[in-house]
Amino acid sequence: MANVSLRSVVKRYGKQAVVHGIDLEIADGEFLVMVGPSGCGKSTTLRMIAGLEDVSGGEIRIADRVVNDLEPKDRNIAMVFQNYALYPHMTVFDNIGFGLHAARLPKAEVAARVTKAAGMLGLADYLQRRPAQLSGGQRQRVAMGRAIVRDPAVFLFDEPLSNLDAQLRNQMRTEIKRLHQSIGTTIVYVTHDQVEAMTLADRIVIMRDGRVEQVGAPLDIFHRPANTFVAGFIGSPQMNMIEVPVRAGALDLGEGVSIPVPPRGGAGLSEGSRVILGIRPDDLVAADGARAAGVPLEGRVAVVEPLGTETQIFVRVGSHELIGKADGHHVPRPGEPIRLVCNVDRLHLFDAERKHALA
Amino acid sequence: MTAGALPSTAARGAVRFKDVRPGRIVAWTLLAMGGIAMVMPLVVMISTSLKYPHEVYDLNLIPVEPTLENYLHIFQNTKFLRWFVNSLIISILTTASVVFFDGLVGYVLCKFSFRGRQVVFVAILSTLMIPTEMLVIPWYLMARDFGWLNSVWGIMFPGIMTGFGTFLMRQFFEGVPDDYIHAARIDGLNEFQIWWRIAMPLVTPALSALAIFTFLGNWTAFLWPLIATSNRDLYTLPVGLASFSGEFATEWEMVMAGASLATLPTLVFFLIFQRYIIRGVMLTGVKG
Ligand SMILES: Nc1ncnc2c1ncn2[C@@H]1O[C@H](COP(=O)(O)OP(=O)(O)OP(=O)(O)O)[C@@H](O)[C@H]1O
Ligand SMILES: [Mg+2]
Repeated sequence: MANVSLRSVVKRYGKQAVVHGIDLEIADGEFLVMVGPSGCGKSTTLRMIAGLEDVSGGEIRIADRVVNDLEPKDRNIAMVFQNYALYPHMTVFDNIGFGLHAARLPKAEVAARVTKAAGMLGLADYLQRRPAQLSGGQRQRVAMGRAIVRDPAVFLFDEPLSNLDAQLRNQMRTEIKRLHQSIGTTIVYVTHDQVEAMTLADRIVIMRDGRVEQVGAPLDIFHRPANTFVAGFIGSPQMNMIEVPVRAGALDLGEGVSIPVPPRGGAGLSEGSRVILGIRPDDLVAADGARAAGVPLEGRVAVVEPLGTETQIFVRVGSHELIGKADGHHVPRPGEPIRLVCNVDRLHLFDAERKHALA
Repeated sequence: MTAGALPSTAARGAVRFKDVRPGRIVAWTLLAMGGIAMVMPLVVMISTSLKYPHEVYDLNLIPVEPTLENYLHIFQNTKFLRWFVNSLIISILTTASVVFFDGLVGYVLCKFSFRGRQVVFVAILSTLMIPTEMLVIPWYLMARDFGWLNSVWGIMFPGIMTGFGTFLMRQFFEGVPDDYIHAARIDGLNEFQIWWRIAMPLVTPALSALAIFTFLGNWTAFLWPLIATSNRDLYTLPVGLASFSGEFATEWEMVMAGASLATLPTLVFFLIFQRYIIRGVMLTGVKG
């Protein structure tokens, strides 16, 4: 059990900085997820916390102790790697117990702890197998077992589920969440999958190009993205973002279609200025009965993607194409005119130049 | 040892009777001829070793009067056993040393970044360009000055590390994902233990190949062992067998009996390590 804190942490490879001064306070027992596009420095940051990379600048503390110069094994952390890194020449038992064994714990205690961890993960029947004889999901469990058995103060996960197929990934995601609920250890979890981030995290850290773009609880980030990057990264399908001028107190979508300026962020907008309007597809729904409250928008259906539970529709509105949603049983035909309703309270406005949210 | 490849090739061809095409017949004929060319010397060697001297120059493959007397003779009247043991000791020690040091250096050159790493690597590679014949004289002068002539160490020392092995190991360690090393570091191993207990087992196929090459190379080495020692007790097998060629005549049946026995350890060595090569190859085929 421990908190982790990063203060102006910088990583440079030669002259090239890949992490530009990250500040982060991770509370004891928190499940923190770092997400961002490929190459944004998530793994590098995680490896610095683990002690696998030198810190070029700043300070990392685990349990209020500066660990910059501590060896990984002295930091009381455990890590699960993307490709699991199970030792192929050892059995599952030895893989899980290897760290304890290396720490010269008595054989009986190693055996007891390995058995317990294996029991938690449903691996009891596989202890004498080698990694090659396991399925992807079982290997993933062994990798987690290797971390759990150390009983660390902090778990570090680096894209642990990205090698699994979609179904197994969902299943393991739930198991990881369950595990965190039962042992309550601090977790720092790296992924580039925003669904994993949303579902697992107590708080999400969104990174881009070695910098933190926003930190917050999943729903806060979803509903109040700090800038267009975060808005586009979180939420699927992506938020519609279009640049529009302000005309006659409304946002002009072209061809005579307009939306009233939303209350949030719209206060200081002057006539003729340009803003980026963000509309989540969930806030732009086909007006068929029940979900019809809001501002109506007339458009024409371009592409329809039925998903069963709902239907995604690409609609030409004014001079823009927007993604909206309809009920699963409502499948409009391409080319049809359609009436959408849009929830003005949930619209997002961003500065056209600097891309940050107008609050 | 190349002959070992033949049966499997033939077997693979044999399963597919359906596609017997002219091209295949040509290929099989060529393979069969190649195979026979490979096996012939071995057959002649064994057959000659079973002949009496008067029959040696007859071209029959099956001896008319087979005999084991040649074998008895080389055991009783020569230092064959002694040479055999010398060769065994030298080959095994050298192989162990090569696997250990080449593995260590290859690992460090691959997984550690330090100033001058590239220079060291190129320097090691450049030693591959120098032929043994050119090295023999410096080796000799060095061994003489250090007083290493006529000793097991004197025969061994040039081979205890090889540029080729270092290069090979470095290339193979490239294929070991860093995450294994990271995992081991978190598990609390020191750098030497990471190399020995994690990285080395991951490159078993490369190690086995290197071990086989090194063992065979040392087992059959002739030039340097001949130069490094003049003491009959320290001869290696090839040098000893060559000494059967007297001033006036070569006793081929003796040489062949010795040579037949000499192939045994290489066969055993190969059979043992070949299994590791196959197993190792399967290991590397597994992700994670
Ligand atoms: N050893 C290195 N030398 C130089 N640059 C490096 C090194 N390791 C990583 N980088 C660079 O640092 C940046 C961040 O890499 P990192 O692995 O942290 O990305 P990531 O966010 O984990 O991406 P991914 O989602 O693809 O795993 C990348 O641009 C990468 O090229
Ligand atoms: Mg990464």
